[in-house]
Order: sequence, then C-alpha cells, then structure tokens
Amino acid sequence: MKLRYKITLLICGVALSIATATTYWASNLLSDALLERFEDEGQFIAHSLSETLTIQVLEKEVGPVFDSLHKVVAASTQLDYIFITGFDGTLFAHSFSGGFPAALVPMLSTNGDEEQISRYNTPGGSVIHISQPLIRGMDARLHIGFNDNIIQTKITQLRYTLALIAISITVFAMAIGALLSHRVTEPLNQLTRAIQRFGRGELIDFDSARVKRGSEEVAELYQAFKTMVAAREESLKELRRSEASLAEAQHTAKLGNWDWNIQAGTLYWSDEIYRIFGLTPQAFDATYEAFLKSVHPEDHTRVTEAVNCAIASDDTPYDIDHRIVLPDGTIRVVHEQAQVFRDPAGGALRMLGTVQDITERKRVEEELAQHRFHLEELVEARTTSLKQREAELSTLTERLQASNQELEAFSYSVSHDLRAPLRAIDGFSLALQEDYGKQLDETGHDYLQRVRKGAQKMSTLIDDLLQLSRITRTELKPGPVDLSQLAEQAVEELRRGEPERDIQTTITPALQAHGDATLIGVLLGNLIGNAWKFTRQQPHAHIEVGRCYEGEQEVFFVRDNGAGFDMKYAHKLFKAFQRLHGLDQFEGTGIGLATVQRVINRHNGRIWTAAEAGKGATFFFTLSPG
Amino acid sequence: MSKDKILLLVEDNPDDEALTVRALKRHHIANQLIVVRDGEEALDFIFARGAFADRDASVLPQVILLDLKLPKIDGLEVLRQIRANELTRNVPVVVLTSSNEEQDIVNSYDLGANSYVRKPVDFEQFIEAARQLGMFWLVLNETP
Repeated sequence: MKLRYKITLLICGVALSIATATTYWASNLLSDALLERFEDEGQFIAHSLSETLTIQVLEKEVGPVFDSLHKVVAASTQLDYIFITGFDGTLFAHSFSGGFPAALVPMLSTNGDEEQISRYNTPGGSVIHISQPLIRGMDARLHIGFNDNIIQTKITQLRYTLALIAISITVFAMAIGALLSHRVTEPLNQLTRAIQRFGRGELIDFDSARVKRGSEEVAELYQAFKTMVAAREESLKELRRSEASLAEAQHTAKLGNWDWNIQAGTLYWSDEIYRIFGLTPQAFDATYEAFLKSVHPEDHTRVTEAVNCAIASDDTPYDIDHRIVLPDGTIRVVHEQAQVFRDPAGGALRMLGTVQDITERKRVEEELAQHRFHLEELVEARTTSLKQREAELSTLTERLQASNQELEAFSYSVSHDLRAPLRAIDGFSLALQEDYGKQLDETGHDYLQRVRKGAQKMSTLIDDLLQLSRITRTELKPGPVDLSQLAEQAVEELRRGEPERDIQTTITPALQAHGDATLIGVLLGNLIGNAWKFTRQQPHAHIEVGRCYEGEQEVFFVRDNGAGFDMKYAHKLFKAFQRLHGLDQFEGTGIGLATVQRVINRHNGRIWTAAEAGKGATFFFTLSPG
Repeated sequence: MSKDKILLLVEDNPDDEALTVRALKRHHIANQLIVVRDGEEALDFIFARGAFADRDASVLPQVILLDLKLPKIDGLEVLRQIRANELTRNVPVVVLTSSNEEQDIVNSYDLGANSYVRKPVDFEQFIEAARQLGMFWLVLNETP
C-alpha cells in the first residue's frame, strides 16, 4: 500500500475516532443536561402545583382541583398527566380524560417523604414520572408525568448535528491528510521517478523549486542524490574524455591495443587496430584466425611461431615486426608487442598486446639508410679528394719551405760572400792609401777614393736589398707600436751620423698603432732618413711626424721642407731602383721607398704623397685596411 | 811575457785575415797572434790535438776572434764546443760578422758569444769590445 494512502487513512481514522468520540460524549452530555433541565422544570411545576393544590386537597375540593389539573395539562405540551393521591392514599383527582390507566396503578402506592423520579416507556414515548408529597409526613402525593418527546426530538436533532460535524471533520481531515501526504510523498515520488529515469540512463534535471516544497529530510535526500548523480556524471564524462583521448592517442600514435581471451577464443580490437588493418568493426569479426588472414603470407609462419612461443613460455615475449595486407591490397608494416597472462598452473589465459603501424617509420628508416649510405660515399669521396688536396698542399708547402730556405741561404750567402770581395777592395785601398800614400800623386789618391766609394756604395746597396728581401720573408709579429718613440730613435740615429746639421723636428707624442714594431721601425727609418737627406740643402730644415684623420681612419705622415719632387713622377716613387734625383744631388740606392711600400703592403695599409718640387714633400700612410 | 798572451783568429778569407792582421799590427797589439783557417783547425788548436797535439793544452787563448762562416765546421759549432768544455767555457769569444744578419747575432749570443765586431776587424770596435770584456790590458801593449 502506498505511503500517501497510509498517511491519509491514518489521518482519517484518527479524525473519525476523535469526531465520533467527541460527538458521542457531547450528545450524551447534552442529552443529560437537557433531561436534567427537563426534570428540574418538572419539579418546579410539581412544587408550584403542590403549593396551589395542597389546600384544595386538604379541603377535599375535588372540583377545583380537577379543573386546575385539566387546565395545567391542557396548557402544557409536555405534561402528559397529573394525578393526586389523597391523604388516605387513594386517588383524589387525575387529569386523564379517558380514565386512570391501569399501567399507572402501581404508582398510587408510592409513599415516603422523598421526591421520586422514575421513567418508563409507553408506545407514545418515554415518560418521566415525578411524585412528591404534598405535605411532608403525609401520604397525599402529587404525581406528574412528562413526555420527553420534545427533548428526545431535540436530542435527536442534536445528535444529527453532531454527526454532521463529525463527518465534516472527518472529510476535512481526509482532505488535509491527502494534501499532507501528497506534499510528503510527491517529492519522494519525483525522486523515485528521477532515479528510475537515471537508472534507464536518461539525463535528469532536478527542479529545485519542487524540492524546496518537500521536507528538509527529503531535500537532503535530494541533495545527496543530486551530488551522487553529479559525481557519477563527472566520472562518466571523465571516462568518456579519457576514452576519447585514448582513442585519439592511439590514432596519433597509430597504435591500437588488443585483448585476446585464449580460452574463449574472443579477440577485442580497439578502433585504431581496425583502422590500421583497413577494416570496419561491423565488417569484421575479430578472432585470432581472422587476424592471421590479414598477415602477409610471407610473414605468416613467423607470426604464428612467435605467438606460439609466447604462449608456451614467458622467456620468448611476443615482440615482432611483420607485414599485413589490407583488403585493398595495400601492404603495411606493423610492430606488435604482447604479454601473456596465465593461471596459477601456468596455462595461458589471456594475451594483451599492442599493434603499431610503423610503415612510415620503416620507409623513413630505409630512406635514411640510403641517404646515409649515399652520404658515406660522398664523405669518402670528399675525404679522398681532400686528402689529395692536402697532399698537394703539403707538397706545395714543402716546396715553398724549400724555396724559402733556398732564398734564406741565398740571402745569407749574399750578405757574407758578396761583401767579402768588397771588404778586400775597400780594405786594401785604405791600406794602400795609408801605407803607400806618399808614393801617389793627387790623381792616384782621387782614383783610390773613387774605388773605396764604389765599394762602400755597393755594400750599402747589398744591405738595402737584403733589408727589402727580409721584409717580405720575415714573419709578421703584430702588437702595439709606439710610432712616436720609433721616430725619435730614427732621428737620434741620424743626428749621431750628422751631428753638425741643424734640423728642427716635430714629433707628435703618443702615436699609437697596431703592427710589427721592427717593420714599422724600418718604415719610419726610411721616411725620416729620406726627409733628412732631401733637406740637406735647406738652411732651416724642418721634419714633422704626425697624424691626421681621413674619416675615422688614422693617417700618419712624415713631412719635410726639403727638395720635394714633381707630382707627375709620383707613380715611380715606390718602385725599386727608381730615383727622381741625380746621384750628384742626393746619394741613394732607390730601394728605400720600395721597402716602405712593402712594409705598408704587409700591414694592408696605403701610402701616398703630396709634394712640390723645391717646397718639400709629405708622405701619408695608414697601417690598417680602411 | 807577451808570448803567453795568445790571440786566436779563426778566419778562412785570406784578404780579411791580411786586413785584420794589418789593423792589429798597426795598433800594436802585443799578443801572439795565431791564425787558423777553419773550424776543425780552430778546435784542434784550442784543445791541443791533431796538428797542435804537442801544444801545451793548459795555455788557452786570451781571446778568440771567430768568423761564423767557416769551412768544415762552422763558427757557431766551434763556439758551442768551446762553451761545452769545462776548460774553455770561460774563454772570451768575439764573433766577427760581415753583415748585420739578425739571426747570426741572436744565435751567437744564445751560444755564449761575448761580443761582436764587424769585419774586417774594425779596430775601434775591437777596442770597445775588449774594454767591455774587461781585458783591455790583455790585448794592448800598454799592459802593466
């Protein structure tokens, strides 16, 4: 039986019981009250009558009594009868029109001082009989009889009314009960229906407004259920997500998993395996035998042996690359790995494994292997040619070294051997001059002087040539160079040679450059030497060493106010053995500026001049590429 | 007395030898001048062997004037052997040079040459070298 009916019935039952009991109790109470009042009224009438009738009864005035009795009875609807027993105990008078009824004869014998009330039923209804003595201690009594029809009618009416009220209460209680039970059970019903729907897997949505109408306990129940549903929904979503991501991962990795129940012979394939094998899950019933049909015929034996070995023993795990043939004839390469699960006795139960499509990887590997092979060939070829080049280069280097050594030896030989005869010429000319000077005339002395000068000039020439060749040969030792200091040294040396000359020199201090100090020393020595030489005819000679800028490029210069030269010959200046002045004017070998040019070349610098015949010359140079 | 003061000249070029001998004589060098023509002969003399076997080995030259470019054994090797021997390692050696080849100068000093004099013996330079070596009195007749 449903809870709501139970509750309704219970409420109805209770209401009915209470109403019935109340009605019963009320009707009795009221009936009694009415009857009592009725009796009181009767007694009052009895008293009134007995007071008025006592004298007449004592006087035995039957006629007036009789009249009074009849009048009283006629006037009252309730009084059925009155009768009086006289002092002798006999009937004195009565109001009965048709004679004293026999049924009331026993009443005649009533006596005593007490008022007596009795009741009896007649066909016309219940009658209340009151008898009381007219005078205490005497037998004369007044008897009156009331019929309680009116009371009874009232009581009946009252009972009907009360019954109606009780019915109304019950009906109302039933309605309340039904309403209450509905309110109690409806949320539960809803919950039940929701749970039923939920059980069927439908999506459910809770109407929170409805829930609120339920009791707190039901609301809590709802909430708990809702939480449970939400949690389950969440875990379902999570499950779906992870399933989706697994499928996606499998798709990306081109890797599927399978589960082969060896005993039952069923084989589960993940979607990706179907995709790899070019099959649709509907068109293919996964079994081991069906799988073997997809395996490339040439790999068939290898695969079955691998599976059998894996099932037979854990020592040979299933790990194999093999080809498969797709329904459209395409051949793919897959990598398979699996693990066998066994019962305690060691019997194979299940085999869980993965299939990965490695077609692309295999192709790339093969290509790579080919490339590698090709690369190796290429490298080998290159290496061979490089080795050849290296050998050629080393031969060339050796030759170059040999020729350098030869050149070195040649220079050495030149510096020693070529000078030896010159020393002899000069030395013996001097000896002749000193030891046999007296025997020679002036012309003889002049000739000897010329012989010595020639020898000395050749010696200078040899020195200059050796310096020129040394500048090209020696290894460059770059470092910071103080040009000012080198210029001062060059000037000092020149002054030592010709202390009598009055030459003003201006050298800008701290001229710094990066280069080979020895070579730059030679360069400055030559340029300042030239300036020194070509200012010989200048009474107020001035030599300046300084620096200027050409954009950001540092340019050094050596300037003099000497003989200068015509700029149209400037292009000849830096070539060996080229001279712009006669030897009678200025001595020289024509090698100095060629040497300067080589020093500049070795520093990747530039050199140029600005000059005018008779007004001096300026040599500008840079010591780095600009 | 001056016979004991030997000055050894190692020189293969007869012209240079003649000019050197002349320069020294003109300036009255008091020492006995011994001239040898190549490196081998120089070592034989110094260590009293070969043609000089009967020489008194304990008498060492006061100074050796050594040309670098010599037949058979070159000057640098002679210098190396002089410096390698316990007896002769302190004998002053003045290298004669016909050029200003830097390499010659560096190598000579490396091997322990005491000084440098330009060929043929430039007398002024020689006197300066002797002064620097503190043997001025050894090579000049003004010795005490």
